Amino acid sequence: MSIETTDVVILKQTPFGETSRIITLLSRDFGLLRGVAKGVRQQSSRLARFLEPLTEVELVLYYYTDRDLHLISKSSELNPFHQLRSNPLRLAHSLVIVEHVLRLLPPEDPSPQIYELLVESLRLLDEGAVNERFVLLAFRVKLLHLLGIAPRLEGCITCGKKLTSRVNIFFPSQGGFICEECPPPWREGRMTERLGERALRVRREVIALLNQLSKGDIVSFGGKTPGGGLLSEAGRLLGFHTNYHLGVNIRSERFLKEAREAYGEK
Amino acid sequence: MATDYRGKLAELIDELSRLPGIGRRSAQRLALYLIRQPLERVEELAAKMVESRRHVHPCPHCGNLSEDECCDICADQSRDRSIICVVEDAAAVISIERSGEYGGLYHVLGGIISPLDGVGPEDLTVNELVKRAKDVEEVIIAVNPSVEGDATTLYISKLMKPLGVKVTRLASGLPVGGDLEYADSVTLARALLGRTEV
Ligand SMILES: [Zn+2]
Ligand SMILES: [Zn+2]
Repeated sequence: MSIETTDVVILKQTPFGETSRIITLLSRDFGLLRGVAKGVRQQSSRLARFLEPLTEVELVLYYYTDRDLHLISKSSELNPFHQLRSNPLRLAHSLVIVEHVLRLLPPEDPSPQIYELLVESLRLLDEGAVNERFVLLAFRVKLLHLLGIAPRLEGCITCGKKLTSRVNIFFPSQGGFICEECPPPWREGRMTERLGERALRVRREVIALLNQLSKGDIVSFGGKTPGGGLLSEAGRLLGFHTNYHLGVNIRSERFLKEAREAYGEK
Repeated sequence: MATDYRGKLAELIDELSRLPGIGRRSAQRLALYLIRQPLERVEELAAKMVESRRHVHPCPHCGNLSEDECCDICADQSRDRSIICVVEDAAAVISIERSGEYGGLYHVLGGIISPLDGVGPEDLTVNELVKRAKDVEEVIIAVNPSVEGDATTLYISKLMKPLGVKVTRLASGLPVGGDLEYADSVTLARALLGRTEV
């Protein structure tokens, strides 16, 4: 066991025993991990105050190399991100981001870049200067890249040629696009006849957007947010890809949809 | 471990450990306690469980638990019918009743919006609340101050907007006896949002 001080983002709390909670968090130095916070459901607990989900705090951790449940002993505030909890759209978008971290990251495999990406995305949502959907899309593209499971966007995966058609076809099973001149990944029939559930038509502008996002930083796009259609299409591609390769459906997207509907956004 | 137990006793432990908040070890303790009790005592307990299950049901108006056609609170004509307090479960009704400060009606949601667990408004009695809210002046949202509580409050208050109903939430934040100086900013922000005129 070692005593460690580390910056973390609190992701989730679940009750544990009569008075404690298990806190799931992303640590800059230790990655995604779970820690017990003892006695934090009692009104008198001092520790409880700085374990609120969607905040960044500095923790003192009893880190056990031989266990997957550690002990949280002290906590102090770094970034409370107040505005995330006062606006349903910002809250819904932040929760989708948090769920991606919870479900896509391998446990205790630290990545300072993913940590920075998470904090930066929450900060942007908190400040509200950049469109929420755009922040979420950028987060997803960058996360898949950092995890090494991003879709291939640079060209046809068979012949390598640039994707110049107005509409291109994405194959989740192949993790990328196949151009019209190359044979489809199944034998019989022409490509366009058998797309169905197995492939997705994607506009050229969407590919360009995803490419740009995977390279640039989010803020530099801030001024000129792409239209809703482009964002949805790009989001659908990433969802399709993530679902196919990881078998993960992001549950909180349902609330995001409901929040958008309640707030008259499509 | 339970592998040491066999037959009926193992089945009982299995069954008990499925209850909320009961781990494997507590289930063993309870099972061992039960088999040491006089038979009549255990039969009585079993009968109580069956009877409660048979006779207690959610009130068709508010979702509070009741043995009658409708619950005591909805049936009580002296209560203020222009105000509804929205709570997560029937246990919260008891807590608020105990405070003695509330004289209106309730609405039990049957849970809380929990996006990360995939629990949305559709899984709760939100639609029923919208119907009831048309006839009242104020809706108080009394859920825990947490991310799930915030999601629930924000969502419901949005639905209430077009109905012209006043929506309030419980003031939360500074614990009695707490020191302002040591309060964290999430708590302080909530306390400021929920401030009252004096
Ligand atoms: Zn090709
Ligand atoms: Zn009732």
